[in-house]
Amino acid sequence: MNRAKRIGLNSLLAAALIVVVSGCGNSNDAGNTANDGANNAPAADNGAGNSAAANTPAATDDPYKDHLDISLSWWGIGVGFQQHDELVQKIEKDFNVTLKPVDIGWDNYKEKNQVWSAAGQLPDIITNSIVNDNPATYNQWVSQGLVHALPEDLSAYPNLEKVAKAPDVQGVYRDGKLYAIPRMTYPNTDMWAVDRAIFVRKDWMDKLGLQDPKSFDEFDAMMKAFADKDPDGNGKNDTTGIAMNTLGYFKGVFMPTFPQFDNSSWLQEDGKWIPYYASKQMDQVMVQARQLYADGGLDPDFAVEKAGEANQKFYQGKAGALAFASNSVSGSAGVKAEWEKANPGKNFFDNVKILHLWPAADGTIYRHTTQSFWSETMINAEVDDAKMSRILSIYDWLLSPEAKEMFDYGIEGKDYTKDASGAITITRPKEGDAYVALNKEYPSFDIVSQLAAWRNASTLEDSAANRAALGDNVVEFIQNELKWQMDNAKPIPTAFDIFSMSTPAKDKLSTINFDEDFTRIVLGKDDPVKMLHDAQKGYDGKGLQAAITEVTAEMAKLGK
Amino acid sequence: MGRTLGKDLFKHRYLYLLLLPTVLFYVLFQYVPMYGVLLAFKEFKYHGGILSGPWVGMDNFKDLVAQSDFWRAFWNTLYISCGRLAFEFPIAIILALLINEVAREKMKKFYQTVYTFPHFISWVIISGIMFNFLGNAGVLNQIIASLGFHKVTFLTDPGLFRAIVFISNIWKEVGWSAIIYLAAIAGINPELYEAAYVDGAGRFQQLKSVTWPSIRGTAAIMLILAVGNAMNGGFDQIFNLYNPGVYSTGDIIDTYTYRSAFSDGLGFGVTTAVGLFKAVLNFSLLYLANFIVKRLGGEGLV
Repeated sequence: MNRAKRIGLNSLLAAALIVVVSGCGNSNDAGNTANDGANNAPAADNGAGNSAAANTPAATDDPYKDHLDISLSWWGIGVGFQQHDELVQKIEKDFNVTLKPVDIGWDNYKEKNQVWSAAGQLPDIITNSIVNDNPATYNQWVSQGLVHALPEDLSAYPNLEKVAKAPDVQGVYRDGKLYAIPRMTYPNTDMWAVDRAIFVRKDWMDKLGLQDPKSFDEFDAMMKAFADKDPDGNGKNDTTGIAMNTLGYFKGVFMPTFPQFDNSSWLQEDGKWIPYYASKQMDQVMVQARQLYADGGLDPDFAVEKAGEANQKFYQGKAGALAFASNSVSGSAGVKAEWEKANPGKNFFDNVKILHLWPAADGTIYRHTTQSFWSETMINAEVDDAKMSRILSIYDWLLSPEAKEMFDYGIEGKDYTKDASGAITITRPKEGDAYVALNKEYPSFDIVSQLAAWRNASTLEDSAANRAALGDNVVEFIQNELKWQMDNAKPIPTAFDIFSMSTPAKDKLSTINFDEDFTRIVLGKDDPVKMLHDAQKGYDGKGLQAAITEVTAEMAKLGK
Repeated sequence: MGRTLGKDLFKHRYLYLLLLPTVLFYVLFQYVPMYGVLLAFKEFKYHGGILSGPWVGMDNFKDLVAQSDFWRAFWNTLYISCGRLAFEFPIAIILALLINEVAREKMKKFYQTVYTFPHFISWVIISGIMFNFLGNAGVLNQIIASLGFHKVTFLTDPGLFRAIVFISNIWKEVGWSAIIYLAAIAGINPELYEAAYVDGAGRFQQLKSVTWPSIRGTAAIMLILAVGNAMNGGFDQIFNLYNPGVYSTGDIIDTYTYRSAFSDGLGFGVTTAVGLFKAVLNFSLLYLANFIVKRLGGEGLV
């Protein structure tokens, strides 16, 4: 090929490329304009949305006349909704909707939501937990119009309104509007006490002649003994002290040393409001955690295990203690059931107990507490008014007493009957001495029943439903623990206002991942206090001091 | 001229038609998405996509270089990549040469299959296997403990992490990487070996004077490509194997970017800046390696 030809061919190919590229570019622009249009729409009709929502229930004809498709995301919803069981059918029929499940996983839901938000593919009903975990992201979503504000007048949805007016939900409002429906865990902050527990092998303690520890050093010695003194008597060095479900539960061990470390809250120190990881009290926590690890009292694999993986070590008699929650004892995948499965013929309550924490330096025994909600529902900004009011109706119903009765007892007429006086007779089949669990009967149960609010409070009640479902001994175990905590312990002094407080510098603190540094320091070989101080210096580079100044100023405005 | 070109195109139209899907593929999936690098100089807006955000100049890069974690990841990437070039790269060549020396054809195929197989297992599975193998209650530690030594925390020790990365990657990929050298060896004219044999060359001398010079060109090109890939460091592997305990030696730019973009909320603009930074470095390294290979008398890529 001669030179001229070659140049000609090249330019032709280049021209072809440009045509293709610009073709794609154009279609992209078209996509953008379409997006912009969709973006403007919800912003423009926000006001109209309010009145429409308020009017709908008052309208004479059926408010659910038009059939709607609603997509919603939830952890593991793909499997849960696969059977399209009667619970899902009931909601779909009552509200004339089709629910389209969108799967998210516990390991990746935040990533998935971020990706979908960037790609414009968020479902109508979004399950997320950024309000407290990543306030910066929440603010971005709000300011960039990704999510719908709830109508200011929620009087048509009385159950929802109650949530919106709860005291510690006020921090979720932005410019007077609520952009998320917080998923309430408990009606108050006291019941969180059962969300931390150290399960311990009573039989191992007896065998080694150990008493309940009265200080961290005694606890450390006990865990070390579990690791070194062959508590299972198999002649092998194959046991460890404490394993953890996740790091969050393990933090409970340090409640007496530094209460606010347990619930990752802010505290006042030297006249300033600071996050727990900037506190002087962290020094001692780091020293103790390192000591526990170096002594072999802490599961050496804790940093590489995935959530829940280490529980097996406790069930299978390879760990003497498990950091988890006392309400996690119940259920078919709960601590009791799993432990008894791995130890056939042995009774859980004869061999395992909850180890209560020792008092702090000031003599107080602390118990876990935090905000009364965890995670939230958000509604896609592209949802129109009709769909918005339908979603709010569904959520209002999910929070109603009728829905609670369904979640407690199942479907009326099938799983239970109610006589004129309101007395309930459970009619669903039994499995052994307990009734078949509702989540076994209805695969969607754990999803539908917890869409709007967690079921934690209900599962803690001493009710006929729970005694039937969980067994008397489990209900009593949890009740006793709750009572012990209320009688003996005080909630961690917690600055609830700061959790969802948003200031420019505080929002940027989400780039600090103290859990990772904590793990690194525990595993490290250098002096833990020095490593901690180095990490704290690094946080200053991420705007820690500015955040402290801003939050202290905000708190001063609140008179705190 | 136009007429000649048109004729030429028409004459070879079927060849160009065959080429078209590949060209389209590269345009659609490699060149078009490149406009995304603009995000490195913009603030990302969820609605309206990449082009709609306001320009922020070099702010994203300024944010980035202020992060100490970024520099840690940068140096780790360099160390790990150099380690891969020093340890992983030559081993594939050595393996190819060794397999080639196996006399029986069937055994040759057997070894090749055995060494290639791990390539098809994903890192997710391998990390699970390694965890069972190297964990505190794993096989290796049980052996160590039964011999009376202290157990070793293989997976959380920053000092051991890079070694584990290299060894596991060699185990997984060495057979696969050796294929290209085996192919090059298969293409050597047998007459060369016969001539060498007649001249009295032993097997080692044949290897030194016939086989190696014949695959040296392939090795040079593979080296250039590997250097051009240096800033990548192997996301799949490290993401599945690392944990906060080994960030100090194991966190690479890709894993740092992933965490920053999705978990820690550093923002898509900054993380795109990381990507662009990396791509520019990769490109310079590729060019440099190419230049050096050419200066040393080898055949380069461009």
